[in-house]
Amino acid sequence: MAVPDRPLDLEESAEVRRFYRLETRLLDSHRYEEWLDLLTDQVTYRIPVRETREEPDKELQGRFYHVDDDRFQLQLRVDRLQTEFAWAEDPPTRTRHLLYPTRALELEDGRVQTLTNLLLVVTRRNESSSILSGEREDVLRAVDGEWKLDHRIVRLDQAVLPVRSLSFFI
Amino acid sequence: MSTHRDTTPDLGRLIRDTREKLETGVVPIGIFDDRMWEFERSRIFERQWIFLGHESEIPEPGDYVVRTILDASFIVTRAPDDRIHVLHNICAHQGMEVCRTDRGSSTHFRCPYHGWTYDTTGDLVGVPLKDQAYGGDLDPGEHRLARVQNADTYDGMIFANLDPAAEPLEDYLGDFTFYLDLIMGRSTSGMEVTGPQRRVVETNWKFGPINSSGDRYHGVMAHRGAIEVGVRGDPSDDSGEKRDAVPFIAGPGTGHLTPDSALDLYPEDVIESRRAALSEEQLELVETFGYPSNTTLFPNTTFNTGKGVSADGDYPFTYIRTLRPLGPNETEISIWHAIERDAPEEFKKRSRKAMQFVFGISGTFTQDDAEIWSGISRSGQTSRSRDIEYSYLMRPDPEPIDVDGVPGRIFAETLTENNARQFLRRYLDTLEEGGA
Repeated sequence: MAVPDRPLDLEESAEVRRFYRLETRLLDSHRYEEWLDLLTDQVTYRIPVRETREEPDKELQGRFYHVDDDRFQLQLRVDRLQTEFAWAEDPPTRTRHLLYPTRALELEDGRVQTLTNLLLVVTRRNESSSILSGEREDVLRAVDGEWKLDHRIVRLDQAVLPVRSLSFFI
Repeated sequence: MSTHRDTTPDLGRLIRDTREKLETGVVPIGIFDDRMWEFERSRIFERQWIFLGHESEIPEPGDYVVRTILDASFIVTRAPDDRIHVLHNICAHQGMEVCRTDRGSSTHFRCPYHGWTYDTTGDLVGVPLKDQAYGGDLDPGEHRLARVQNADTYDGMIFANLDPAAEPLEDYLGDFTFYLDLIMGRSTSGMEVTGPQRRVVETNWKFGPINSSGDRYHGVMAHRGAIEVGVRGDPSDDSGEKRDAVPFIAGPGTGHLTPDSALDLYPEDVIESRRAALSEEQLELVETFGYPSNTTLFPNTTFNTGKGVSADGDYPFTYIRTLRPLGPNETEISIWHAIERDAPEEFKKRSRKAMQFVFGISGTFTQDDAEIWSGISRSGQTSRSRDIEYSYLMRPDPEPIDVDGVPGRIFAETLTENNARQFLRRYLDTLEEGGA
């Protein structure tokens, strides 16, 4: 008999909030090696391409992604940023992730699903800032008593992105 | 028409000066600034064949995509008789856009303003209150969505030319078809594309095509970080200095034939179908020199083949990329993944996953290109830039290789800036002829 999804209890809520505070701090201060420690080995990290459609539920179904990474690829992205030759992040892009949680549920398998509204302000060198907005859908899994990111889909609102690269993480 | 400070005679002089300098290996930075922009619009983007998409994006009658040339919106439709039409997305009544989405499927397009309704061929099939409003005086044949007469396909790719007097697409492509077939005509099942992934970058549209016409030199530094960590596989076979790739020039195409283009990583059936799709001369050419990679079709479409790593292993991919100018220093870059239609679905997925990791907005190669293209473009827009000249000196006259039965020219040396100069020669010729 399946256990239905249920709201988080107070303690779980506090842990999940702590997870996002830490993750946001690591991302916005470019501490990517530590950020990788927050991901499970099976993590999938995806940003689907949006198209404007008459039916909103078809807008992200184009089978095409801005980012479609596994753990191995994410590690290589971070490794590349550690070289002296990652020009798109030299000097590093300033990012500011502003999050607003809209849902958190415990799934039948014990993992936690969250929905978060996201406003991301991106500033490169002395150029004007660009804004990306959207929704993150995450699944967190407890590994050795710590919450880790197992899946992430970032549903950006923009069909045409106003940044020259996604050289940072969302 | 424009607030432009230069007039046509000045353009003529700029073209002549640039051409003279180009043959000595330098390029005045001025051709990347706003003096050329008005003429690029009218003489290149409104008179050359422009890539809009691929047949596989609109497989069923009624399917459509909306695409743009310069700033003008077009609906690319598949009609009930399977024919493809390119229609101006402007109501014939009072100009409202009749389609406001990027993609969909519909039997008709209805204007939200007064309700004039058009079918997928652009014919006016509905006018609300027609008799009361117009009596018998409205001839529907006179009020249809304007159709681009010169729209055609090659290897499944849809092109349009806004010049009613344009030469046929296949004549335009000329000798380049031989090479284009190796990329987009390489399967008896046809190719299919997914995409596009789109972004706006502050850059002049020409830097992408020039870079992708055959700049094998930049990999050594621009992509060093990505190569070192092995985003395309073992970095020890990937020094960045590809001595064995050979540049070619064919009609409106400039590119490289590359032995390591990863075309042998596809499933056996797919490779088998390739042998049936290509001619003996084509197969012989790829046997000797490899398939085209980083190849540009004038003016603004680039094709590339390559491979990328993932947890599942190394997967090959092909992409099509366009740089659509929005202004002299602003460009929308779109990229589509392309693959043989008969490849297994799981393989297609992994190929797309490998591609996004190397090329495209998050691509570990493309990120650094985009940073550099926008930096060069910024340099070209300053009050000092008109006196500055760029160097395209490297190996001005590469050694041609004679290959029997192969159109175009192939050259022996990898490291040359001759292909970039060829792109610019064609650019200048087109600007000049376009004014004739």
